[in-house]
Amino acid sequence: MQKYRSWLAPVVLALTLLGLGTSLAQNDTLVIGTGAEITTLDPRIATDVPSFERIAVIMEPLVVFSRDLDLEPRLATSWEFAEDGSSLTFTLRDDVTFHDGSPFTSADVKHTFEWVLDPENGAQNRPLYEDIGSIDTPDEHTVVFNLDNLNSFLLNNIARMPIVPDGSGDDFGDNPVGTGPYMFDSLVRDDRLTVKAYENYWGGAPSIETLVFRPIPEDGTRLLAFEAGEIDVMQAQPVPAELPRIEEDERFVVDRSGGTGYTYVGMNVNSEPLNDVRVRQAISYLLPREAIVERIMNGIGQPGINMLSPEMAWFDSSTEGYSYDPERARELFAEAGVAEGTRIRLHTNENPVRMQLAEILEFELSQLGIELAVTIEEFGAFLERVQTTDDFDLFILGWSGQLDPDRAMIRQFTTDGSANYTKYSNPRVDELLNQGRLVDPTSQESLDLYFEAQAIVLEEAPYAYAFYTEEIALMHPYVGGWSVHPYGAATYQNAHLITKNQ
Amino acid sequence: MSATSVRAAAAATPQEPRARNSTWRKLLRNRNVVVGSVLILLLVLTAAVAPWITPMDPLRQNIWESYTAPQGFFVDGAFNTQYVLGADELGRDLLSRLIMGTRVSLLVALIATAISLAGGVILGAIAGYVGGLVDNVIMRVMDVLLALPGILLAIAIVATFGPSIVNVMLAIAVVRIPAMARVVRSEVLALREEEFVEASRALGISPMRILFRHILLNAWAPALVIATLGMGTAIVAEASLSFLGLGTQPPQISWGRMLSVGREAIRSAPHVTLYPGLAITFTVLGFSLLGDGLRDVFDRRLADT
Amino acid sequence: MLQYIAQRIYSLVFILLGVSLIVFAMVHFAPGDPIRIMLGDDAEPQEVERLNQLYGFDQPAHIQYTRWLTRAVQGDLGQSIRQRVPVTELITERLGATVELAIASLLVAILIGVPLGVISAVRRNTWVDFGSMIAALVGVSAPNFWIGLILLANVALHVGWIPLFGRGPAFTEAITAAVTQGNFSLLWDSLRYLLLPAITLGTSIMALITRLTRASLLEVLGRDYVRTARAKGLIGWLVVYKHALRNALLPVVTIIGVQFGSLLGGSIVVEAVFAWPGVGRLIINSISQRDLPIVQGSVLMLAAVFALVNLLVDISYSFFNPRIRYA
Repeated sequence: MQKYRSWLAPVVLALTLLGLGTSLAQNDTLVIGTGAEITTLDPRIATDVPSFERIAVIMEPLVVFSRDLDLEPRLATSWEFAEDGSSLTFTLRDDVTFHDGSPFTSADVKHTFEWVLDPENGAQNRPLYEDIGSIDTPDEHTVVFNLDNLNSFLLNNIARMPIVPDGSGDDFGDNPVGTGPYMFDSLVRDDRLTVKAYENYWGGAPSIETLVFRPIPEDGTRLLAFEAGEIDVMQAQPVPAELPRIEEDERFVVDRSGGTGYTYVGMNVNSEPLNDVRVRQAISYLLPREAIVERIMNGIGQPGINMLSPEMAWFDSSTEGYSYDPERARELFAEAGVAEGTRIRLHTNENPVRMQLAEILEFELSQLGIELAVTIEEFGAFLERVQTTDDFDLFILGWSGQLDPDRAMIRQFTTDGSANYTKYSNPRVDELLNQGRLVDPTSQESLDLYFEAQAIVLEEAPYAYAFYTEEIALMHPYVGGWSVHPYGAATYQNAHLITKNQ
Repeated sequence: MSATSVRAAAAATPQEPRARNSTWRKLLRNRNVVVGSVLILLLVLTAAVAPWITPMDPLRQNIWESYTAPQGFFVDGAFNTQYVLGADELGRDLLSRLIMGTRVSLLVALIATAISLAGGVILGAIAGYVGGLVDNVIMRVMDVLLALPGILLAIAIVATFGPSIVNVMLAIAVVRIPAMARVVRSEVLALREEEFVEASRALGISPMRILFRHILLNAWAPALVIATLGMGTAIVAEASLSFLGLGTQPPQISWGRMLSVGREAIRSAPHVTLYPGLAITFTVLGFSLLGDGLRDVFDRRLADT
Repeated sequence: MLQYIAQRIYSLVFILLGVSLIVFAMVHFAPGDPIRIMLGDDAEPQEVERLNQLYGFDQPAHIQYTRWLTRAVQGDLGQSIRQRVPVTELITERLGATVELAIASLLVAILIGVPLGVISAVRRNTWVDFGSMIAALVGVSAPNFWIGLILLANVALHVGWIPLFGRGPAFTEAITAAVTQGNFSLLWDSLRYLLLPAITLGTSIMALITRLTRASLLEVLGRDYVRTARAKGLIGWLVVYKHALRNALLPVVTIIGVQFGSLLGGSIVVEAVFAWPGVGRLIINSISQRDLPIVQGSVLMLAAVFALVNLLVDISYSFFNPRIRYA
């Protein structure tokens, strides 16, 4: 027990003596504390990171993202696009068995994607794969995806879909079976998900017998449970305010990795006065990004520049983005004819950091005589407002899992984009982003297309970028063989390598 | 609070001046009433002069000063006004925000209670006095509302109509109307049979007049007790809604929001939650003590023992 | 008696009907399209439409309501949109946790609240009386979530055997194991996990119990037979215990039913703080995901539990105290 002084000290001491002899340490079980509960263990209908990160210990996709965000073989040993781009062929491993002992074959791959593509099944992820026209299985270890449209980034989407056994029905999520290092054992919703080591895992038997995922929604409680040693690994982001204290504490290990997302202020380009590009730029100049990252996020993440993260090959490193410059903002407001006393609305949800951002922007604008009416809405209502109505000016949201420029831009900034909440529209950007899908992602042409697109969008400022996220995990020093992954859903894809030596 | 435990009856009608004096004396002799009143008077006073006594601008942010520790009133022997109780997550002065927050917190409680009082008195009085089918319908609807956990009803109201200070007040009020209506109804039922009401009826005074002039005038004591206790509940309710992200909105400063936002840093910067938490606790304590005291004084049964 | 029970059951049905109507209306007029929120950013209009048809959300409200109600009466609360699991399953696996927490909180409130009330009454109008009332009031005055976090950060973190989150073995199972197999470790585990959540939730209704104990004890102490007993020279505490307390506690029993409802409500916040896997967390999660069948089903279920507890309390009360008339 650490040194402890408080008015409660006598109580604590008495209680401690009362419970002597109750101990919890176990080397064959690793307890992982997380923020949110899963919605389902069926990857075909899951949409959220908490579900996918836990599915990833039970099931595996054909290819996975490495920590450098390169594609690595997993259930597939190699893959190849046809010369004309009309098909994509995977060669599969031949030494893989599912937890029930049956061999993994091309039929399982075919089943997984066909189930997702069948509109009758209502799989939420269908749009990710709709460029796949049909699937052929020439032999047990070869799969051919015949493509209706060329999409250079389809591989990234395939990396998001773990394979389920052929014949899996609607109730697969109740008792999921996969090829991964751990077998599903039990799920008590909102309490714990237990998985057991799969001794015949093709990548080698896991060293820890049991993994337990515990969802703890309250940030403070989760951190305290970690400090008390009740959870071994805490992977959902810790409270920024507490991070410096944890980092200084020798009893804990803080593991960090650049993230794949960012938080931004979106602006409805149709609404007065945000339809004036100068007003949007002015707002971009009003975010004190350095101070936010330094003090609000306590060093988690980096000041936001644009919609691509600096680690991405397509990020134009000559871009500087908007600095914090209230004077420049004042000039721009004046040029645009925005009078003092103008009222702009801002909506966001009850996420602590977003609320703080809202308050910061409210204060900065008030210094320029502009009133920002902030509304913190419950998440469902907020999302509906932004996604389906035109009834908002500014909003604060974030993107995650932005692994390639297509994912990061085409839905957000093309005129008909499914996530174009700001109603931003520029024919040149549409053209560039659609063209980007058709060219080889490793070519100079691809870089040129996305360099031009990001420069235009940055200039026209439908978003003001606040900060890039960073993935952070806390663990006790006795946990080894594991580190946090920039792509949240892939955090536990190598769970069999984790060790515990307490 | 419970409707059942308030079985107080108003002091006898019409009151003699001497009786009134003795009520005052009873009030002043009651420890709960005195302590509670002092606490609340202090708060009301703070709220009244709030803008003039804040040592710093409660809205002024300085992110680089976030979570500054409390500096106290004296620094190096000199009187200090900078971050006396420390700074919050955006580097705003906690003491100044606490002082300004008195206004919002009291206002929310006051208006929510006023609405529930008005709604409860009207519904309860009509139900009790008219009786029959009307009584049945009103009270069954109240039963339905009582069957839903209060906070859940409030969440639903705020989630449906959107979070704003007005909707928060409404939500808290609606939750409390049924209890209020029940108490008023039982008072009215009891008073309806009293001699002076029968007499008024015999004199041909209109029912509305009887209800409002005679009956309600005598049912105010239990209503006052419930309302006082309700002020406290409303302040806690606002904090709970804030915890769920459905409380008052920035830049309004409410204690509930300060407490719920500050809880993120409960270990590294405990002062950010400690002071709003204490402010809420003492305020609610004040209202509870006052309410309890008032009940002691106005409850005839207890007064007799 | 039977007639009284029949009448109560009749009004219970009415109340639940009313609750179902209110819940349905709130859920349906709240902003937030469940399908859109589920499909997220990539939602295609035809997909939204198709799923809306699948779940019947395209039907007029009154048809949706009658259909839901008819099925609910038959014990079918529909299927979760997100998790694709029957709602009844989701609720029943959590209801035990919530009820367990509510009962434990009630016990905490009684165990602390009644003695405080007795002390208060016996030492009426002294500083002891005042101090006891303050002690009882602190719990209701400070917001639950704050008390919970303070207990976690200042007590549980340093004590070692008090868990910081979650629920141990179900109490019913633990007590069964203790009685049938003499295995007390499960019981100990169960209680360890219950301790802090129950204290946090329990203190929120403690004041009421203390207040009521004090008031009714004062009344009983003023009655003739107690005065006689005192006059006969019986020692004060014995009088209180033997003659007064039993009668004084009857009114306390009556409010248990009402308080149970506020405990069920308070559990929403406490469950979030302590990661207690109960219905409250289910409701909060499903509200933000707009999983309407879960929201409707679980609120209705909570109201039903609450109404049943009230009924049971009232009936048992009438057994304890046959003087009550059923009007």
